[in-house]
Amino acid sequence: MNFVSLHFLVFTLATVLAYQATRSVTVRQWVLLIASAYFISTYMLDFKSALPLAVFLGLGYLLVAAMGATPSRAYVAAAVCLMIGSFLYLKQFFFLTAVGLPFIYSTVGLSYVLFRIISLIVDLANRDIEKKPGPGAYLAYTCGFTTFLSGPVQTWPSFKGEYEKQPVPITEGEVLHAMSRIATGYFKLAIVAAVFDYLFQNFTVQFTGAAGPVSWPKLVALYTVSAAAYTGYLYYNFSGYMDIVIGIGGLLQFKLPENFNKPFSAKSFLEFWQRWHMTMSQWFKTYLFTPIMLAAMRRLPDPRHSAAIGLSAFFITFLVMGIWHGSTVVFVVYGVLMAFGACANKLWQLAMPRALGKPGYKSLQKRLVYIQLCKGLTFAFFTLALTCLWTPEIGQLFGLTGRLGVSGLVLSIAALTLVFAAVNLVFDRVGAIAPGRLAAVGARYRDTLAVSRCAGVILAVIFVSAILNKAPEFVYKAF
Amino acid sequence: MSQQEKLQQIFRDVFDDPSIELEPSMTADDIAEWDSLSHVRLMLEVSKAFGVRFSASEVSSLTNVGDLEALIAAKGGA
Repeated sequence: MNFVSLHFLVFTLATVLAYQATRSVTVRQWVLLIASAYFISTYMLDFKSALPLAVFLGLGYLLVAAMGATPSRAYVAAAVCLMIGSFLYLKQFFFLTAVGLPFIYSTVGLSYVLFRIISLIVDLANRDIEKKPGPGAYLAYTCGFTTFLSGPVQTWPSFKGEYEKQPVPITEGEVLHAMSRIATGYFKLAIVAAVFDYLFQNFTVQFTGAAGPVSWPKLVALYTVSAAAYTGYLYYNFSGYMDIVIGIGGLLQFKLPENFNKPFSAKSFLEFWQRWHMTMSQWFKTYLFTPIMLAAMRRLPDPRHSAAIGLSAFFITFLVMGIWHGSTVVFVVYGVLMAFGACANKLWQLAMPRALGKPGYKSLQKRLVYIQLCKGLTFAFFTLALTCLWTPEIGQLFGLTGRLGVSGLVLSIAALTLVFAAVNLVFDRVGAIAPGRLAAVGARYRDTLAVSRCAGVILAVIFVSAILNKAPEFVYKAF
Repeated sequence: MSQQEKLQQIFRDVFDDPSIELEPSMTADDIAEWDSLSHVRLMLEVSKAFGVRFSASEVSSLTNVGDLEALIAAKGGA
């Protein structure tokens, strides 16, 4: 089901009306379950193609249901390994392609289902969750239609609070706020992201495929602009999708966690990952990074080992996080790049106070040029690493980087850093002046603005889709 | 020594800053050295000093000093 389709709008409207028509918690839970089942069914070719997901969910539920009050470490480890092993098999990771299932099936949403099942198993074992979910709550948690495709990854306690709360009548303010959020999402997804995608497609076609050879300077320039356009496309596509699902959550009075917090204002690569796809980053922090750190630091408590332990934990976490994005070898490269970025960032943070002294480093961190260059470098590195996401074959990736060479990549990263720093500086300056006045006007005409925004976005989506002759797709569901 | 004084001393030792004065609303943004590495070390020191054990979820989900104080109290830390 395409998010920019009449089908999706009718589905959402029907679900919201059915949900809001009742004050019974149980009926609302059934509405969510039926809507989610229908939503997922639209991604399935036939009954057989849905079987792997059904088996995966069933296995997860059995493992959760079979847990005793105090499960052994061996049980928890075996249960987590079994889920990860099943996931790798169904996703057909590059080392398992020879033993796949002999029919076509859907893996949409599987990564996020895995996140939720592992968190249930681990949190129950640690007694962070007191009571196991019943089958209905388990299905609603793992397969709720607002979060099924690509999150946000809600924790079980947060989900349970929303799922079981007593209904209260929705207010006009809540509806307007939710509609406004949905309109913002569609504006990002169907207009801004679509334009970035259009630019990306038109630039990449000039140096890939049948376009013929291009000179090296032109290649570097086209590659740099394409990479930047892809980053814009990915961000507006993904954050637009998040706005839409969080807005739909608002119409259902079902609060979902935020997934983005101005990621390109991050002054470091590590900070970037606290602002981009935040719920996924938090998941990896909770279930991979922190357990590695705790286990290693308990064995090696001497503070002198902290940096080495931390770097190792960062490397493993970011490597796994990168590989998780896809099933081909290219994503191993992406993971290595993510791990390199995280470790280089941490080493810099450790080395600078030693080189300049704590006061000297603090003073440097306050300098405008340093701040903008850090933001620029963060954007540039992430943008170049994202090349792995638009060159799905390893030969293609190595072919492109080979043509660019080290000097081409360095030139590209330098250009992206400087241009982003300069553009960001202008936006920061404008942003420092404008919000006060705009906020005052916005507060005064809030309701009128919300309605106008919705109407404007609908017209703009129709207009832009007609010009681009393409219905925008949600890109992140592929990861 | 009260719980808050004990906790304050741990913060000063871990972050090597004798000027730290704890407030319940204090977050990692208020202490420059409070990053994900030192946070785990901090939690292990707190765990040792108060005789409590924290899960990875608890370690990761804390947002400020007030949350940490409440968690120690909930676990009966002494």
